[in-house]
Amino acid sequence: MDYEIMMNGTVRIGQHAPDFEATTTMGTRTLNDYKGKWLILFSHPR
Amino acid sequence: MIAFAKMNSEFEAKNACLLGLSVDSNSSHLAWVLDIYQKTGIKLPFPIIADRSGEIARKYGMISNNVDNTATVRNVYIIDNLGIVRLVLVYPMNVGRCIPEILRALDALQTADKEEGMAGANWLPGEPIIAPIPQTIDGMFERLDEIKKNKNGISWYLSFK
Repeated sequence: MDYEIMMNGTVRIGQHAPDFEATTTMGTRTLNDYKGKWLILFSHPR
Repeated sequence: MIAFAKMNSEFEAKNACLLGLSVDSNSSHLAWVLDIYQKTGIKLPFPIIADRSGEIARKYGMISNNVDNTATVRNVYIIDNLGIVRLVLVYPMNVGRCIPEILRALDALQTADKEEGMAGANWLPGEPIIAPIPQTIDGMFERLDEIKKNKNGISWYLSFK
């Protein structure tokens, strides 16, 4: 995989959101789970 | 987190789901959720991703190496119902986001999509959307006629739907 992307990818407007499969406080979630809905994905420092 | 939680129902009303992320562990997130509940009575209504390896954070560009290469800064990605990224906000560690603005921006995106135009600066719900600018001379004169008839603009490049 490209070192640049590994260090810090960039997501640009108009791009398809990168897929993910994640452990969450409410079970596993994937990007696909949100198809048909708008998703507000936000990060928090700690 | 609490700020987002308080407006969760308003996001849901717009067919939007909130999803948080931090690079801490799921256990520490559960403890955090409990802490919030015990201190404020608020139960977080949306999930928080435990991105321990930072894989998702890096993929999305949530890490600002110059500030801290082990924790994310305050990013927001508004992703539409087709999975396309429509808006990106990046806020620093030391300045929190304005949640009403995120809701307003979501509203603006959805309204502009529906009306096929653009939401101008400081757009608020209920205000008109700006019509797309004509791209040809014919289009321009058509628009001028339309404005004369409907009184819905001040020039060929600024008229409202």
